[in-house]
Amino acid sequence: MDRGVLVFGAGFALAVAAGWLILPGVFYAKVEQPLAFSHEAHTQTGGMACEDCHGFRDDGSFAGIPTLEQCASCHAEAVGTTESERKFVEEYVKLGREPQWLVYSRQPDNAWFPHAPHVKAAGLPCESCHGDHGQSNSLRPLEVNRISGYSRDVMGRPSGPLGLRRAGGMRMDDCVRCHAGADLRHSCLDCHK
Amino acid sequence: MGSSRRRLLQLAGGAGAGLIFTPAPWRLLGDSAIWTQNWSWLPKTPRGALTSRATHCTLCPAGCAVCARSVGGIPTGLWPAGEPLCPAGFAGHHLAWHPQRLREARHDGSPDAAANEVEALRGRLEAIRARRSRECFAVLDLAPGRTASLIHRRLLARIDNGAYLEPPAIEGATARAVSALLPGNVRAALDLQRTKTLLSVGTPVADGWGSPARVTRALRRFRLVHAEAQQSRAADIADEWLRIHPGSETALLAGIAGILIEEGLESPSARRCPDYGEFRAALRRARGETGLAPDRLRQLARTLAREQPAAVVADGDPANGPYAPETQAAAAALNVLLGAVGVPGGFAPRMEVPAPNEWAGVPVSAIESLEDGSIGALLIDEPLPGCSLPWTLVERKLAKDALVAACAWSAVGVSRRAEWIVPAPVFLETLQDTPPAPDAVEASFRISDAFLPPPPDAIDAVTLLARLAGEEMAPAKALEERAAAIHASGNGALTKAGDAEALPVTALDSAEFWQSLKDGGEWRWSKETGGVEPARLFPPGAGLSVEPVRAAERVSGWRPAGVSPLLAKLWQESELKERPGAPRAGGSAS
Repeated sequence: MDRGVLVFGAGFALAVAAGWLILPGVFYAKVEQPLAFSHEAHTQTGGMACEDCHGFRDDGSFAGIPTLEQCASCHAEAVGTTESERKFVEEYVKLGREPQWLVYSRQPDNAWFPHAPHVKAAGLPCESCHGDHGQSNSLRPLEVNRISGYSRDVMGRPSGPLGLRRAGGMRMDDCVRCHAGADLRHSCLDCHK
Repeated sequence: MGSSRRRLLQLAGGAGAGLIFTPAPWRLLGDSAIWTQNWSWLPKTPRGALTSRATHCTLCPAGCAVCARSVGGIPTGLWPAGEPLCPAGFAGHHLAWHPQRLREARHDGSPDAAANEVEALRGRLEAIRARRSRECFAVLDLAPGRTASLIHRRLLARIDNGAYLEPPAIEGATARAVSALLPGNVRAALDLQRTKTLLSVGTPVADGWGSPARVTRALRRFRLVHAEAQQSRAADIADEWLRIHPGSETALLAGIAGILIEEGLESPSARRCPDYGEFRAALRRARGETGLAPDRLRQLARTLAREQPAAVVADGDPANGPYAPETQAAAAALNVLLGAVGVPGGFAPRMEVPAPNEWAGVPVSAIESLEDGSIGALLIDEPLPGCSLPWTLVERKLAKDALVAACAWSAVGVSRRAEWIVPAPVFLETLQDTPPAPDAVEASFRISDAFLPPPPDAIDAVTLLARLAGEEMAPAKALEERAAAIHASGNGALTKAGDAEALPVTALDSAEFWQSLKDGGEWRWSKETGGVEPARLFPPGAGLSVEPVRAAERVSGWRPAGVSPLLAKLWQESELKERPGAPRAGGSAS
């Protein structure tokens, strides 16, 4: 085989490997959450359901991350013995300081996603978009795109192994796929205001 | 395989080709595109809990009740709380983000510290005092009638040679002229709810004047005759449009007055006025061409005398400013002749909103009344957009080395003339009240609460003036003190936001009264006086010149309402305004 073809092929292979395995990671900065948190401890040990903390307000809008007041209703004093629990009570609850949780699922400003029609009307389980997040024992770092500032969970390469798609998801193509599967057809302006 | 430039190029070529088959270049393109849509200075959609709170729109004297919808504590929408709302009110929350909003203190157009403006004014005051000059320190209040206006006057009383100036009034000018004919300090307001016939001269009664809700409601019950030289929207909405010659407003009013007297249709109270004979003599000299046929004018005079209660309003023309004093005097006199002064259905007496006794301050002065070159330092209070004042009117009153400073929402209004200018907190950034509208016969007190933090450099005129006077005062404190005075008077009733029934003030304690006002409640007080007899027909020294008024130095513009550029455009160019009904859509010109 011509040596030139070999060299070209080597460059090609190296670039493909780097482009799929290394470069996507370079686009994202990993930001740690302010505190360690175990969903598993709350759902498995504590027996809580998703909506106990991530519920709907009286006006029907989704509350998202619980406020310190909600957390403090159980954690006014340390419930567990972990360092994170002590830190939460001492540095946040007692000082009335709201933890600045990083939200994996924060959609871009131009995307309008209401939880109520999906959860209440369509009856979708939380896992259909958020995966097994509710069973996780720790919070992974938030991967923020260095250029766009968007979370990797809502825009970018699927974050499964080798970039393969995980179940569910919160990217636009996940929305489109799910809606198409349910024979729901929409215009751009339904979601992009 | 040795290395050479050729091999390196082959490797790079392969790498370039390979990259195309990876997500990297496409991701880079996509992210770069998104980056261009997310500049740091672009406003971000607020996030957080959705909340709704009742408050009032204090952008104009209508003071409409509104509900403010906030996301994460930031107002994102205003909508009417039961009554119609004008587009300026709908977009009132835009004012804080208006593109022309002033956000930093400036000195001669360059950024400077706000504290330096206070020091500059203080220095100027000391200089005036040191040379024992007769020059005055004046405050020009471009939103008069507020609680802040009373505080200005009170604080100016503590400053040597303090003068409080109001711009020439447009909206409510007839009510002021009528008030001047009533005995004592009685204030009059047009009782539109009980009027049967209304002659509006140039005044856009159904097109933005007074309170939109009240006027729209009343418009179905009274006959509106509109006199104007051009077919404006107000003329279009009116039941009848009188196409008069430009500048012939005084001639029209004098002509109708002459016919009423000639046919003996004037009210008995007019005949009892001590200047009745003098007025008749003045009328005989005031003959002018209006463009209307004599029969038409006679028919109009008879209609006004027959279809009682009838009133005349000649506040001014939004495009051309207020009318001359002669026109205002003629309109006031015509109202006396029609028996429309001091009675329900006409210009009825309005109770004053109580204020603490210790708030007595300097009197209100008209700019024109000051001597030329007599202002040594001028502070312009321009908290709202919309007021336009010819600078020549002010400029000649300034001393040669006068210092002009301003607290203003923007640097594009009258305040652009100021050497020093600091941003003033605007609607929804500070507690504010608004004076009653000219069609409100009830005294009222309603406030808008602070939802947003003002810019760091912002200082309201009350706070600035208090610093100069060596006092501690802020708008919130002033409003709370006034609410306490209202409560102490025991007069009137409070309607809490969302409640249909009003509670007597005496049923609430002072703290609850104040909290209810902050939560969107409204205090009202009316008292049937049984009629007040006018003391005169004509203000002393007023003439009845029917010569067209010169167009120089006229205040233009209407009430402060230019809030949202987008909605202002829609308002001007579309049919958003509510029309009373199809039959009124086409006014007939006579």
